[in-house]
This record gives sequence, structure tokens and C-alpha cells, in this order.
Amino acid sequence: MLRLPHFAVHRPGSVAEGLQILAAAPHARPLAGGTDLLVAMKHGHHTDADLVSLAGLGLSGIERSDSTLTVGAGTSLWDLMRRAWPDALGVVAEAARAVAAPPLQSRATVGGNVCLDTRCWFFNQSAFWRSGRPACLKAGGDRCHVVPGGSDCHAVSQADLPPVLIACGAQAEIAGADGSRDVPVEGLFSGDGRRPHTLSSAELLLRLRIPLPPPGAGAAYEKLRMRRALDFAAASAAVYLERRDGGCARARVVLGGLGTKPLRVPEAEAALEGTELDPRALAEAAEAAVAAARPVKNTDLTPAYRRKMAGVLVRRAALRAWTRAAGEES
Amino acid sequence: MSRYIGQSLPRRDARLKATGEARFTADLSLPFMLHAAVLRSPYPHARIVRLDTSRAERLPGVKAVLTARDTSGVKWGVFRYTRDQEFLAREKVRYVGEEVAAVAAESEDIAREALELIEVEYEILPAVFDPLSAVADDAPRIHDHAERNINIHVPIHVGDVDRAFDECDYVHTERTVSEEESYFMTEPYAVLAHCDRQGTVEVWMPNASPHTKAKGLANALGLPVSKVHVRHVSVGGAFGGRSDMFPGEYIAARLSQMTQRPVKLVYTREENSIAVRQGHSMVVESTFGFKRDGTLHAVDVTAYMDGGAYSSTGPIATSVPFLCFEQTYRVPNVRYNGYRVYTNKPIRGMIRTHGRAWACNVDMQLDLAAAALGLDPVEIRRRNAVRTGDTTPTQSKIFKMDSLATIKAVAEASRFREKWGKLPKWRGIGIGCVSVMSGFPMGIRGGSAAMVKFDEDAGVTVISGVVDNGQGNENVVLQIAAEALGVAPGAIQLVASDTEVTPIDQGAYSQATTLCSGNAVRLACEDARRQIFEIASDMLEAAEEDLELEDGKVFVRGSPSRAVPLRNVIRMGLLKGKNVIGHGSFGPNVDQTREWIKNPKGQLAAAFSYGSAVVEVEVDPETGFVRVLDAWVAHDCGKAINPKEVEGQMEGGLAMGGHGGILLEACKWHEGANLNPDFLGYKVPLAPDMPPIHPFIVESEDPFGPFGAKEGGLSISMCTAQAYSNAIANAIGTHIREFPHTPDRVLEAIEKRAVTGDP
Repeated sequence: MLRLPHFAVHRPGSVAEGLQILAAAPHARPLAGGTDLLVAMKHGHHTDADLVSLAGLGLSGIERSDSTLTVGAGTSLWDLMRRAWPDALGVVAEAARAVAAPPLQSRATVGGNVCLDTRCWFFNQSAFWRSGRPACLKAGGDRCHVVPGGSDCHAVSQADLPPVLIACGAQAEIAGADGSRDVPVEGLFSGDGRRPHTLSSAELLLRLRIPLPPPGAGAAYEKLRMRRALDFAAASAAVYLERRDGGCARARVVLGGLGTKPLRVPEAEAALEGTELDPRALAEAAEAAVAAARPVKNTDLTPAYRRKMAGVLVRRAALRAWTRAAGEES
Repeated sequence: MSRYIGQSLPRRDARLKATGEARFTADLSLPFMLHAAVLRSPYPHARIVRLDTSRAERLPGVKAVLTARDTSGVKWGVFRYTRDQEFLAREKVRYVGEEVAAVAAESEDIAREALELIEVEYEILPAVFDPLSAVADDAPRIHDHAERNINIHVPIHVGDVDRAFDECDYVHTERTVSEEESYFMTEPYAVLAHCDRQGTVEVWMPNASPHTKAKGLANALGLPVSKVHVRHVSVGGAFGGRSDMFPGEYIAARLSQMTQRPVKLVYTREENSIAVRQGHSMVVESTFGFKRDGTLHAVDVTAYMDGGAYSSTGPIATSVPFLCFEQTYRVPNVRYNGYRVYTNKPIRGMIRTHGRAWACNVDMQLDLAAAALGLDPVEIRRRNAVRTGDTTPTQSKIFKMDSLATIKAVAEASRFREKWGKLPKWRGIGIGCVSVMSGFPMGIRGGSAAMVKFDEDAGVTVISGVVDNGQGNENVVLQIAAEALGVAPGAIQLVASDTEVTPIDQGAYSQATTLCSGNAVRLACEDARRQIFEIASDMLEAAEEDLELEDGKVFVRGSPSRAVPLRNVIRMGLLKGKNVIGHGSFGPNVDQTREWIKNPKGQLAAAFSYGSAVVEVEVDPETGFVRVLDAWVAHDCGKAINPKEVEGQMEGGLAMGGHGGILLEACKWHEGANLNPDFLGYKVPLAPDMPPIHPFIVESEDPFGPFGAKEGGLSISMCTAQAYSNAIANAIGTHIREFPHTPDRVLEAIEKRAVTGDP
């Protein structure tokens, strides 16, 4: 099997200690479930990394207040799935269930899924595989093998939780040397395939705060993948809707697997808001999703197909969210 | 009547494998063992300008570095005329993953570190990655000896095809294309070799035939076969991908010779995918001609198969798809031109599915002809199915094969005819059929032999070359021995697949094990029984022919009280100098002058089995995703020695051939580099993907098989693809000519049909 490189592991007992280590060690990387990072290291990426285990930081657990659900970044996806969610937020468990397979769900964490690295056929390969061609942008090189001549990295964001969290309006609590701050989850993503997150190397994602939706809210997640388990999203869509007086008062539409970050689609949201999700509104939202999708040939299924699916998935997620919202609207 | 034949007895390896106690090659360890690693070419086609291993040799912990300079230069090929592969590249590399050098060191980490110290200077050569480009006049030449990169040409012509097409009422041409399949056995390839001070080499590795491995290895090492002992070990799957010889075993053995220490080499998943074997990708052009009544009258097929960089089992792999066709459907006039073409891609070998573009092309032709001639898909198959008494175009007599019963079983269980043409929109139903041979001419290693011996307390030990890759072959011979000796299978010891001890056996190739190894064990046990009766007849004062052996007792037929324990008979034999040892030897009734290229005619196999499948699908017209609602599979396996094992093979066959083969599996490429050499990228179907499967076993009682048994399972892995493909075509109203039918291709076909109205 592929061998792990030698590496050091730090085991801080508190967030403050963890942040200190991250600030002091130039190649430090947080280690949560390790389901993605360790595979990348076996592939010869981050071989100089010092790992900082987050296991002792007390970041696991879900708490509910009157207005917010707070999910610790260290909570496993398995725990997320088993949790009884308010109906309008059942979509969070739905997304967690769509990740990989049970052994990985019990190991992988919420924070790890939010911070999941972008992926590409040319990057997620062994060191041997990559030795046959010049290093790509994401691996520190100067070219893209997917879009030859391009200067941008197109590695794709395929995590399942971020589209759902963004659609639900979640905030992320980030801790750094200067204390902690809350940012919208949407703000965690840079859009640069090379370094897809806005967190600095000395920061940690501590918690996610999901606002409890008002009555009449509903959300759904659609994931398209080759097999019914294991596979990353070739395309996905999360739709959150608030239904008031039979009409859509608010919509949030987010695509996954179709660009370097989760793609919010304001045009699709505008197409749905103020309507009763009639076929024309749905068609417009789907069209907006297709226009927003940015697939390239670096994962399963053809880019043209995946782009087309953006529309199908948004329409299906919107309809399911709408039905759920109707159930909630009392 | 049968006590152990036809019983779904638990497999003897089930508990060991379920608990993790079974030991596979990578689990093995010997004192003073070294670890090996292989340096591979990162380029698809390059000249080796300079190869400097001196820095690697100086790394502490490195015990040997192996390159082509340290080898005899013996080339491997399954046939004398296909020997084209050196186990370490000498002047140039021909695919990404080819072996360039190897290291043995005190640890795997040191071995891998040493690889990084080996300096190789390559001169990159132009490369070619598909068979049609490779046969072009201006294509780069991969082997000096192969003009237009044609490695193998199998030409078969029977009857008068051109005239026969003129006699047809319906003639149609189709072109189909498929990507490569891969095996993804759970166990990646590994090998442990130990050369002792007498120069004897012991080897453990997953394999399909220890005797074939031992002979190839002995040739390459310049040793007599008696100096190479391939040992028994648990094998984690083969699917055809463990069939010939690989550089890995040579490298481990040679490094062990050089260091006089045991050497273990364990491949990564990626190495197992690119540096062992893959299935052939292919382009198949066919013209089929039918008479008005639906009888197939003439067929002309040309197939271009991407063979990768070396020959491997080339002539066989180029022939088998055709042979399975001519055994399946009757055709008096047929022309086949199979071209296996060299490309700068990994080496292609045998695989359990043998070419979906080939098999599905045939069954697509049948469905199109049925529609044109006003028949339904079941009827056209009934009219054309090869059956008992037929002789194939290449002169194989079909002694016993109940093709029609398999068609009937799946057609009735699925209510095919009630559903055909009447299913709701986007639902479809399809049928596929195939015949598979049990064994084929393999010269001196084409048969099997076995021995059975007894302990003084009448304990039974069977010694057989039988190989179990996971399909349950060991249980098959144990149940046969149990039946023949009247002893429970659990009480029988089996010594299997160890070339020092076990007689030559054809291996788990060509679906021959049950027929050949099973018969050899049956004959050995019958021989032992004769000896036992000879001794017992004195003890019981009865004629030998009146004696029975059951439950550890010999008794007089009709008077069970006149009995003597088997133990006493064995001990009496020992006293009289008549140690009971049964011998059995079996060679299949095949024409040994038949040759794949020079003489493709004569009896191919002693037995032929048949499989039919029906599946019903529902297609999502917006996404192109296919949901399989139900699958029915029927298999004439002659006689199910262990029905549960046969059903397991049928289910696994559908998973690999049908579900994986048509919906999911394909190797993806970028300039000769395999983009999906791992379990995440290569889409083996997973448990939640699988449909409900309804298996039907048809028992035609083969005249030559042990207790009537022949091949079990491959017929289903080779007929389900056709059923899947045809069902999808039925659901969407058009056939898809590219394999697999992934959702993007299905959707494209739906959209294209909406635009063009293509039927």
C-alpha cells in the first residue's frame, strides 16, 4: 500500500495551545478525521507537514439555543446524521449521509468536510503518477493540465456540507491569534483551487452556527454521483426556501461540485423569490444554475453533462424544499 | 441419492476469511526477510539513455538493486511466438508503469527511498494510445517486429460469407466501442520469494495456476522446474487478472537469488491496476445477415483490440469473444478478423467479461433484426440458440447444452413477453445470452491429476493442483471427494496448488477447474475405493462389486450389518503392504492440434455452458441514470455441485459484467496515464447499487463433467451486459454504441433521439 511520510504530531489540549503551535510551526496543518489529509500525504502532498491533532480541543458536540444550532467542528458526520434535527434543518443530516460511506462518516468531521481540499484528477494522484508530467498549479507548479495554457487552478470543491450550510445561512466561528470571529460560511471559500479556503494557516474553524429557520422554511440537497455511496459529487445543489402566504419569501441556492468553491446563485434565488415555484420560475432558476456552473474535465462524467445537471438538481432540490416548507408552514 | 453433490455446504474458507484469519501473501513474513520496491516508467514511450543505480546501492539498508543488466534477457509471452516482454525494460519503456529497476532493502521505506536515488535519463518517444491510431501508417512503432503495431491477427472464415449476405432478407451493420475494464480484486498483487542455499526458490503469490507460474519462472531464472516451488496461499480474487506471468514474481525471485534472503514485494493499488493486467478496450464492426424467419445466416466481424504494450495472452484474448459468439448463436457463414494492436498503454490480458463491445454488439444486432422481422427478442434467440448436437463453425461439437431452458427460465420468470412493448415510458426490458467453454486446448498443462491417501485412522487427504481464487474451487473438489468416498467434506484434508507436492493442473483458467480438476479428484477417489473394496472383500467375504462405502464403513449392499469400519480396512491394507493411495488423471476431450491463429478449428472444449439474463430498468430521462428494478439470470452449469456457490458466482457475474460493465466501469486516460487506478476513481458497483437478482440453475447433466458438472458462473458474467444494454435501449428507444452506458452517454442518446428521431 502507499506509505505515509514521516511526520510529527502535536496534541494540544486547548484551542489556545493549538493556535500557538499553528502560529509557530510554518508547515503545521490541523488534523481532524484525517480521511482526506492522510490520503493526500500518502500521495506525496504536504510531506513536510507537522500535524496538529484537534482531538483534544473539545470541539465535538451539538448545542441548541432558542435561535441557533451550534455544531462543533470536531463533531463526526456520523453523530451529525444520528442527531434529531428540526425538520427544516434535516437537510444537514441529508448532506452528511451523502458523504462517502459509514466507516468514513464515523471518522470524518464536520469541520473537515467544510475545510475539505479541492480535488482534481491531476492532483489526487500518487507521487509516481504525477512524476510523469510537470507539477500542476495546485501542486506548486506553473501549469494546469486540465485547461492547458490557463493560469487558474480549476480543482473542484466537492464537499457535501458547505452548499447546505451556506443555503441555511450558517456562520463559522474562526479562532486566530487575535481572538475569534464569526464569518458567513460562504466567506470561508476563496475560489482559488490552489488554496480554496480563506482561513490563514494560523487559524482554526471552531464551530458552525446554523440559525433556526422560521416557520415555513424548507431545504433539500441533491447530489449527483456515479454510485450510491463513496463517490464525491459530480454536481450537487442545496436549496433553502422560506414560504410565506403560499409564496416564496426567500430563497438560497448553492451549487457544489461545479466550481472551485460552492457557488451561490443569486439569479436563481431571484427567479424563485416572489413566486409560487411555478414551472417558469423553476425553469429560470435552473437556467441560472446552468449559467453559473463552471465544470471542467477533472472528475467523473463530462463537463457538459455536469453543467446541464446543475439545472436539474436545482429544480429538484427546490421542489423538495418547497414541499418540506409547505409541511412546516402552519 | 447424492449426499454431498448439490448441497449448499458452507465453504471451508468462509470462517477464515470472515474473521480475517486467512493469510494472503502480504500477510506472510519469513526470518531475515527483505522488502522490495519497483521503479517504474512515468512515461508511455521512451528510450532509456542512462540508468545509474550507484547512489541507490550505497544507501544503508539496501541489499540489492536489479536492472535488466542483471537478467538473462529471457522474454515472456504465453506462446513461443508471443515472447515480447522482458521483466525489466532494457532499451526502452513502452507504457506508464513498466518496470525499470527494483530494490531489495531492510525495510519498505528504505527500498522506496532508494528508488528516488536511481537516476534514469529518458529520451521521450512519440506514443500512441488507441488501436485505430496505432495501425495508421505514420504511427510510432512500438516493437520493431510488429508492422503497423499489429500484435495478433486472428482470421476465421467459414462458409461463403459474401454470397450468404446476398441470400439474406435483412442485413445490418453496427459499430460499437468500449473502454478498458479493470479487475479491482480486493487483494493487490504481492509476492514473497525465498531462494535457499541449494538454489531452490519458493514463491507465494496470488495466482490462477501455480504450475504455469513455476514453469515461466523456472525458464526466466534458468532453473529446472523442480527448483521452483510455488506454494499455496489464500488468493483475494482473480477475475482473469492473475492468469499469466508478471515481472513482480521474477523480480522478487531474482532479488532473493542475489541476496540469499527472502524478499517480499507488495504492490500498491495503483501498481495492481496499471502493472498487472487490464481488459482490452475495443472497436467492433459487425455486419449481420438474417433470413426472413429470423435465422442468422451470415456474420462478418472485425474487432480492433487495444492490447497495450505486450502480448500477454493475446491470441486467446483475441479469439475468445468470437468463440463465445459462435457457441451462442448458430451461424453457417462467418468471417472474423480480430486484430490485437500494440499501444503505449498497460498490458491487457484475460478478463471475466471478455469484451462488452463485442458481446453487446451481437445481442444488439439480434434485437434490431427481431424488430425489423417482426419477432420479439426472446423468439429470435430461441430460433438461433446453439443447442445439444450442434457443431460450431470452427468444428466444436456441443455434446450437451440446454440453452433453451435458460432462455425459457428468464423469459418466463420476468414475464418478458407480457412486458415487451407494453412497459410505461422510460421503462425497458432486455435479454442477453452467451455460451462459455469449460476448458480449451492448453497442451501439456491442459488437464489435472489428483491423489488421495489415508491416515491409519482412515483420515482422508486429497492432493490436487486445484486453485481457488475466491470462487470456491476447493469446496468443489472436496464435495466431489466426499461424494465419491462417502465421507463428510469437513473430514477431508485438502493439499492444493503447491507445485512441489501437487500434480500438474491446468489451473483456474478457461473455466476448466470443475471439469478437469473435479474429474481428476473423482477418479482418484474411485481408484481408492476400488482398492478399499479389494481389501474389504476378503474381510467381509463378499465380492468387491457388492460392496458400498458410506459414513466411514464398508458394507455389503443390502445387508448393512455386514460391515467393517473403513479404519480397519485401511489398517488391514497397511499390514498386507497395500497402502491405499488413489490416483486420478483427467484430460479433456479437446483437439490438441487446434491453434489460436494457425489452426482455429477442432474440438475447443469438452463442455459448453449457457447463460441467459433478463433485466428490467427504469431510466431517469433528465439525468440519464439507470435504475435496475429486477434481474433474472439462468445458467446451465451441468450440475451445481454446491448451488450456493454457483448462485454466488452468478450474482458476482452480474455485478461485474452487467452492472459494472454497462453502467459504471471504465479506465480513464490522459496521454497513457490511467486517471482512475484507485477504488474511488474506478467505479466497481457497491452494495447499495445492486439490484435484486433472481438466479435459476439449469442442470443438463454434462456427459463428461464430474457428476454432470461444468463451468459455473462465467456464463452470467458474460451475458448480463447484453441484457443491461438492450434493456436501456428498450427504455430510451435507441441503442447506445459506446460502453459503458454512463449517465452522460444515456442522456446524450435520449437527446439525440429527440432531435433526429433515430429509432
